Amino acid sequence: MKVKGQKLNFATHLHAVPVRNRAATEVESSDGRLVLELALEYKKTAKHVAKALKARESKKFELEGLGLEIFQLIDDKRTFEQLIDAFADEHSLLFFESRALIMPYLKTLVERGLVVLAVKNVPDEEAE
Amino acid sequence: MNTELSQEFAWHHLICRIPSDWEVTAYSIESRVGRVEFSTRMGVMAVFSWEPVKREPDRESTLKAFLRKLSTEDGKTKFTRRDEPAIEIREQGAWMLAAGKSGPVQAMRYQPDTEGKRGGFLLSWTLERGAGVSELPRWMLALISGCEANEADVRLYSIHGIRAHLGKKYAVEAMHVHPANVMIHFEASDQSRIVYRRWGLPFEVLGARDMKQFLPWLLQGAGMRVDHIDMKNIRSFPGAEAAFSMRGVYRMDKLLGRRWTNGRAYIWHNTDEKRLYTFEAIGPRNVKLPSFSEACQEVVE
Repeated sequence: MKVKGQKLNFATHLHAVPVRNRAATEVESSDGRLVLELALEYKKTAKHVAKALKARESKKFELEGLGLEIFQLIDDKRTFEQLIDAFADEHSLLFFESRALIMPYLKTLVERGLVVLAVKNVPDEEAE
Repeated sequence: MNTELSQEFAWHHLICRIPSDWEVTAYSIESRVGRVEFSTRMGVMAVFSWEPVKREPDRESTLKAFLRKLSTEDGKTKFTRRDEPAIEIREQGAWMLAAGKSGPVQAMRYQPDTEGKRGGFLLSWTLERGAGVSELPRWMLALISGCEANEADVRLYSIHGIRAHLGKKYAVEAMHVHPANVMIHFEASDQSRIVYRRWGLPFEVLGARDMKQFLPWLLQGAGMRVDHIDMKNIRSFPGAEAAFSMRGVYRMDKLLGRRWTNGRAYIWHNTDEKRLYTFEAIGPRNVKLPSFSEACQEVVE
């Protein structure tokens, strides 16, 4: 990941704010399970091809367990660091343990388009 | 950084107390040469390293050479021979410390090899004192002066929340560290083996199983056969104890397919820490294995 051609340092990662994609709508919610639906957007030629082939217009994602817990912790205000601390407090984990557990889930959520990371670049001096 | 030295750390050649928020982020398992790196969310806080040396080195010049090398590596601090008088060198017990006006502090100690071999080990700490701190912090001196040798007949290994008390014949064979999931495998020259495991998020690890179901599943996955298992309280926490066996993997046992039947495994759920622990021990016939109470001693404050 880059910000204006710069590599993100560790502090910038921690200060990033995960933000939920508001286009993702809650379809189904029950105890320990959440289904989200995200409208698919086809661009340029793909739009016509998708229409001709009657391609699906949305995609559903089912969250449960830790993935759901992490998604529910995302409130568009907490930074990644605060998210790590909240998860660590909840499960009596250490900082790096919590970070290492959250990272892959968050990466998946970002890849699926359910969450984006709002990044404010922190200079190296501040990081140190 | 939390400067209260409330966390025990014990690894090859060293037992000490470190700040509570330090976490091991890199490690070596070999006792001959290696390093352990400690970090907090602020970055790397300290590095402990050990290496074999033929004789006790001139620590003062080694320390100065190290600081010189470090200053050229980081590209910020310029440190030349002319600056050497500004380096504070002090003895702290068996350790020698060297510190410039800023930057990391280096401490070294020579430890003779207790195995009767010639030479010994050069143990060193590289400690970050933080930006803008010019004096040696008190916690740093306390950490260094509290360091003890870990060369007794029974050695302590305390890392990643696992605490092992084992005879010196046991060496670290493997260590796997995943998020909230640690395993250390010790093996002795007589082929007896001891495995410690520790997990966080016990509800995720166990799933729908209880410990009586989980432990056999775990052992069977490692090629063991569970002969008997009982639920019981271990260290006043809910747990289970199992007797298990495995096909011999050493000399005639391997050739004849004789089973090792003295395996003992324990699992317990420390509900205070929200952690799941296991201890497994097995070895060839006629080999005395350490008991659970010997190998898993609790911290005595």
